[in-house]
Amino acid sequence: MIWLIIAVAVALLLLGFELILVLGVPVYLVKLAWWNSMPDEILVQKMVGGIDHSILLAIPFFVFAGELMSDGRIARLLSRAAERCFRAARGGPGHAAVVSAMAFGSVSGSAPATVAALGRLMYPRLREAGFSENFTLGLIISVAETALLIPPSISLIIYGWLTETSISRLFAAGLVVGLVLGLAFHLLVVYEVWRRGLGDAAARRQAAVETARGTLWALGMPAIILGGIYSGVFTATEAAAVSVLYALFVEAVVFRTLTLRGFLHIAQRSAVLTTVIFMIVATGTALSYFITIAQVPQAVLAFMRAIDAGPLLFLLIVNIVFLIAGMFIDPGAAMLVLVPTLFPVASSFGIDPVHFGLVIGLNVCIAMITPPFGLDIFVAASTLNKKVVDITRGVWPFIVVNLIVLAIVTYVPGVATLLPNLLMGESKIP
Amino acid sequence: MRAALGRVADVLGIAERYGAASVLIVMTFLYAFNVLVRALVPAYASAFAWVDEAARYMLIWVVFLATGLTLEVGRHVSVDLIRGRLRPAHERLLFALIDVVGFAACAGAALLAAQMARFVMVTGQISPTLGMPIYLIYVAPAFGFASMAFRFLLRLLSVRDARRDPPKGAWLGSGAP
Repeated sequence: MIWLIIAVAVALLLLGFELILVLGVPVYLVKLAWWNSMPDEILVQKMVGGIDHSILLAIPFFVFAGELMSDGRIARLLSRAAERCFRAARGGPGHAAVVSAMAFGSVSGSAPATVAALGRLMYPRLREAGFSENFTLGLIISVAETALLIPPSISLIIYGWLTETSISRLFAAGLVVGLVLGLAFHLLVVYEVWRRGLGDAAARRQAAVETARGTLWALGMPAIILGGIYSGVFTATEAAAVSVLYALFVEAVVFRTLTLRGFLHIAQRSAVLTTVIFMIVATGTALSYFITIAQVPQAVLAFMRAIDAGPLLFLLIVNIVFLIAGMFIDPGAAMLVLVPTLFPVASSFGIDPVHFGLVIGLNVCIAMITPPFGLDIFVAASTLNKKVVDITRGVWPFIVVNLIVLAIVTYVPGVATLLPNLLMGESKIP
Repeated sequence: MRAALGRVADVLGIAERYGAASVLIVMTFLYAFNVLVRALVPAYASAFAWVDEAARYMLIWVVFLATGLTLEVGRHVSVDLIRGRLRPAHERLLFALIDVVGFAACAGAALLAAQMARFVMVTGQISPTLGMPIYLIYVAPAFGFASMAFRFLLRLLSVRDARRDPPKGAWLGSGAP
């Protein structure tokens, strides 16, 4: 029976049903097959309960702030500042693309939004600098992943909510892992520049140090989010709410780019983006409930013990499971289904929840760009009007880089836990 | 008939757009105001203890107010790798299947949410800090799923279908799905 339900879910996914149906229909079938005596209303109760959490309020606030900044000047100023920094470097636009995506990610928290907002801007500059079509497309969708790690990261907020792990600790770890991933992409750009002999000396000589007016205002946003949280003034949710006020003040009062009509449009768009995320969270929560009461985590733990797996083998299995799941289903949905199953097992192996969160976070990043169904591939295809197959061809070197970083983060826990432990002391493993 | 359904969709869409945006704006300002009060005049902070609960309930309303609209503008996540390769006749058949299943699932969920709201209303439960009747939070999914069922019906009848005719409008911007 369970295989039939999984087959239904896979069929709905492949046929192009909306993800809430891909998750929702199997949830109802599971309830019907094994818990038919329960009232059907429990599905609605679990869905509403999935949204009704203070910690999740950070998501609409960060989405709202991100939309205000993407539509206004803050995001563009951050991106331009990054470009200026690398104007004198060989293959400068390649490095600028990495830093721009990280800077933009630090205000949006969404990889697809980063691809959509920066893709058109970066593509012509990278091609003019001599990067190949495949490398350019691969770079654009891959660097956007850093938005999922660098605070405010929506996937880390969801992980924190699912596992009751401190969002502040996850954000600190995400910052380090995001920087490590960014550094790895820089190295790949350096290799590509060397391999293809890129670099325009004349352009480098013309480069001049410029000061960006208003950049300080733009830099105020990450300062509020990170400074506010780590100085203990705000929680992550409170920092998110204040970041909306700050973005509104800077765009409307300082830059004067925001009209009342524009503000309303941004709020409407933010409501839709929030809904997209939360309908998946709500349906995924109902599914997680049945996974928990079916004692799936206990079954996984028993299996791990039966094969005499230690934490290292367990983490390897987690990575493989996420890699395969990420190829086919939305990484957010994969997280909602798999984390409640795997987290209790990770805890029983004594794996630090922040470390495990970053392993999951990186897997979510990889899932965004893994063919055939990586969401960012489709966003880039529609934004840049390119064929999916061309983007897929260019993404493989970046997937390899991602896997190397994943291996480092998986087997060197200190990469993820060092900064949170320094800032907030050692975490208590449940 | 189709024209009348289109007009209903227009009015409903505008109401949902402005409704969800207004609740989101109020929720954000209320929460930020609460933070500022706590930081600047901590003596008054306890007077606003209800804000967290209000914001959580508002989030539920934002999500379910906008979910039908989100379907109408084609922003709910789906994978279109296979369906984009089908012949037009097969694609029409598949779209119809998706819409029939979507309509049935959402209509059923709306009914369950309405039953849940009625059940909670009868028990007379109220929220801890706001003193608001709890059933109101279950009215939100009843509305949201009914609105989605209506949008699936509109797609089935080819009145509004973002898959064939992507919606345009300044408010949608050029952002990612």
